[in-house]
Amino acid sequence: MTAVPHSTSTSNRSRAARFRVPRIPVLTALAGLFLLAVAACAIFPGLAPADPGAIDAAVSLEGPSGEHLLGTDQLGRDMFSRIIAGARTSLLGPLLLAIGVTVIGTLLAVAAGYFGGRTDTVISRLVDLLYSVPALLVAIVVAGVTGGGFGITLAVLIVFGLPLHVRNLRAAVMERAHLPYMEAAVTLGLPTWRVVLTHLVPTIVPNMVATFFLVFTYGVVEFSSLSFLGLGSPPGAPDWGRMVSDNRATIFTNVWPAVVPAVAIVLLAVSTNLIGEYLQRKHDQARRQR
Amino acid sequence: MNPTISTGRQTGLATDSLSVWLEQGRARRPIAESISLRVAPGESIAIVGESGSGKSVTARALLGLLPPELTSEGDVSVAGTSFLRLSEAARRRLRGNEIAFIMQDPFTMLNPVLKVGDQVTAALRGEDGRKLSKAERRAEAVARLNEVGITDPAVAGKYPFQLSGGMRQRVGIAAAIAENPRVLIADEPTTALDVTTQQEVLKLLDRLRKTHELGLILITHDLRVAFATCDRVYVMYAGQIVEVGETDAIRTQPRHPYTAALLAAEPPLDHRVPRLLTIPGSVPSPGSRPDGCRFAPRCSYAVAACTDSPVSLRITDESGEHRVRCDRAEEITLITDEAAGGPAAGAETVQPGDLLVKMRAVRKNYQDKVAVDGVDVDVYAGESVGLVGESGSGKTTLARMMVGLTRPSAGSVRVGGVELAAKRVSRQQWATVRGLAQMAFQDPMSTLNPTRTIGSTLREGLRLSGADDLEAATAELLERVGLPAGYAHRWPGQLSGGERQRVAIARALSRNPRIVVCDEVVSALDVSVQAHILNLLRELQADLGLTYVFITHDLAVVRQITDRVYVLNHGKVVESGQTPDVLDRPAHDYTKRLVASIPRVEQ
Repeated sequence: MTAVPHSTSTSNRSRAARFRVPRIPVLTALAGLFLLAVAACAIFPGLAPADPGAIDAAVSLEGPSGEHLLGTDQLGRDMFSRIIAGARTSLLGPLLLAIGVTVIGTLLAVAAGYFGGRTDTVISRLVDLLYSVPALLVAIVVAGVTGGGFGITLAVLIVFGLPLHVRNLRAAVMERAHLPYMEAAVTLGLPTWRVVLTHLVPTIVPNMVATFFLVFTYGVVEFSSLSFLGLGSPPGAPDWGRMVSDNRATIFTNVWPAVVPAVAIVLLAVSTNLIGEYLQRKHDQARRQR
Repeated sequence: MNPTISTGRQTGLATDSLSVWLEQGRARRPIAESISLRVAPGESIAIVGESGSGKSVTARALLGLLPPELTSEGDVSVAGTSFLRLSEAARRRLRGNEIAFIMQDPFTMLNPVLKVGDQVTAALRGEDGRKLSKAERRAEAVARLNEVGITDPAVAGKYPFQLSGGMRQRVGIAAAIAENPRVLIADEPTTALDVTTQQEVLKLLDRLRKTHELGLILITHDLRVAFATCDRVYVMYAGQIVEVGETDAIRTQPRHPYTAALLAAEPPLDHRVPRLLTIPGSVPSPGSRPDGCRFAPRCSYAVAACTDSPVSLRITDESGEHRVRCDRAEEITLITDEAAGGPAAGAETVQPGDLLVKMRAVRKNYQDKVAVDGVDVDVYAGESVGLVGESGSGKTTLARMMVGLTRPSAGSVRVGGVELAAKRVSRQQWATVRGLAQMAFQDPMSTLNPTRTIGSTLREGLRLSGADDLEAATAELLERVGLPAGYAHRWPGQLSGGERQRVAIARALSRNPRIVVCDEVVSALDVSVQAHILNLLRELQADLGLTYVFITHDLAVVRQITDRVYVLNHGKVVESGQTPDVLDRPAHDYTKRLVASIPRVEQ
């Protein structure tokens, strides 16, 4: 970047504009690196320097040291290793949730927005109904009744994550459903599934990407909240939300075991959000140039 | 009020070398260059040009209302005051007071949540500078609306959405002239309106300029509108004024090749020509304007010297009124029909072929609104049928029913023997209809899917028609509509409006249809581009034996492209017959009014 201001008589406005063109913003780059690191940990749990479940009462509640980079918890387990081991569940839950909501949401939105009529009425009313129910509360009840488990939690969060996104995607579909190029595809005689798959869906991809990242970000927080309440992953599992919950009692003796996983959760949520926004901006720029 | 403007009631608005630049990082591109124009109180001038000429940007520069990425240089003086040198606050005081602006779109110009009376009187203050009382405001609003021909006092209490487009444009004008400005700038004020409404608004502007001593600056792409309303015309091309003169001089003796070509490209109203004259190429974009004469690459008079150095505006008559930016101005003559081969002997009478489309007592309701109200239409093979009417006449709904995009509420629509009004249309029957009738749409911006290349758009239809070699067939199709085969790899965003319409026509042709329904395909295009597309459509009809159903509001276009015409009003056919008969000897009152509304110069 050679953002050297010119000494010619350009206006202040254009000079300001020149400063605003860094290729990748620093924060976005850091967010990307963080996500890569979490993903690496999720794929290779063996990266952990110690066994995340190994109990050693001799080193209970130690601060960070050369041996234990982020200290130890009450049972003397290595926090650094537990954070790495927890990456998988922390990432997998929101990821599956985001994929689920985006895919099912798009299907419902296309059905409602493109075909309209009774299909639209049924889907839209269901969405309204779901809107009025607090998702986390239902998740807690369901998890309590069924004894919890990852699958059930995921299913409940997907169902209650749908309303907002079905509405948004449906609006995007309806905006395009009667554009001339869609109608031209119909008059050409293309079968309906082709009109939908090759003409409608590609034009709402930006909306789908936005949905994906939004749901993912919320998912990070939602899964952690459930784990914190003891409903997500089983006790003892190295889950970030669970770790905050388990270690909150000792927070005044040693802040590290409770704060480190909490910071990890916040960083993960913020990072995905930043990356999502960055991709959106890039896509807008590319579209404008086309 | 303002001490600096007490002098010079005689001067209206004048600009001196006004230039507008686009600041793009380090690059600085000229959008409009050295525009010098003037308008006296009570005088009306037109700035005419195609899209990309810089006319709208010039209008905004006059008001000091440029978007942030544009900067202006030079000077605008309003009643003797240097407008652009004033502070923003002082300029704001002058806007509305001395110089006012009305915009193209009557639907977005007014605030939807304020009553129109309040909008008209928003800027008014009493003698002592205080706000008016509620009663005073209401009285003022009614009086001002009366001035623009709205006599119903209840209108002042209505919201914009309760009014028609023409009424809204009137309200916009009333608000603009509420403070008795000296200069009114109107940017395409009638483009979004129907012809009959357009005529009323133009007449209103003309009357107001006389009664209010207004200097009127009319920005338009429509030469007819300019000639019918204005005293003098400025023709702009690629950011420059290329010709200035009295309306009559420009109309009958244009001295710039571009003006002459533009006039020749305009489809004549009163007769059919075998081929419309066109201008090759397209308007260069701000970054790629040629050196020397801007028009040289497209000019039939161009010689090598034309591209050497910039050409300046020079006076070409004794009075000094007619100025032209062309070195060969004296040699330019207006190409008339005689030179182009004389008028065609009217539409050739087409031997009627099979009855392809038969519509009987067709109705279409949207809830309680009736769009089409019992219409009979026949389309025979090989002919070109026009559906003419204003917005809301039901012409587009009718066309959509022919290709099965809209299902009729009642009546019968038979296309190629298939009853489209039937409860159930089988897959086989749909295939017949789709292979027979195709459609081309109005808006060049949304007619092509932005996520697909031109080639993939065309291949879809070709595949359905069972073409063997898709690559070759795509290339052939593109060539048919006058585009290079390499366009198959381009994206819609890389094409101009005219090129996109060509692709849309090619897409319709990809199914080898017998009927092509053209819904206002040229109405969003510039005159010179429109001429290209109309010529193309005629060639295609001659080569492929196509049948056209041509939907338009433009009677000059109807004359050029159709053999028979149906005139629609409020969902009913009010008149039909051979196109020349209907246009030359209209029988129904509505048709008469439509024909009379076309702006023309009073002889």
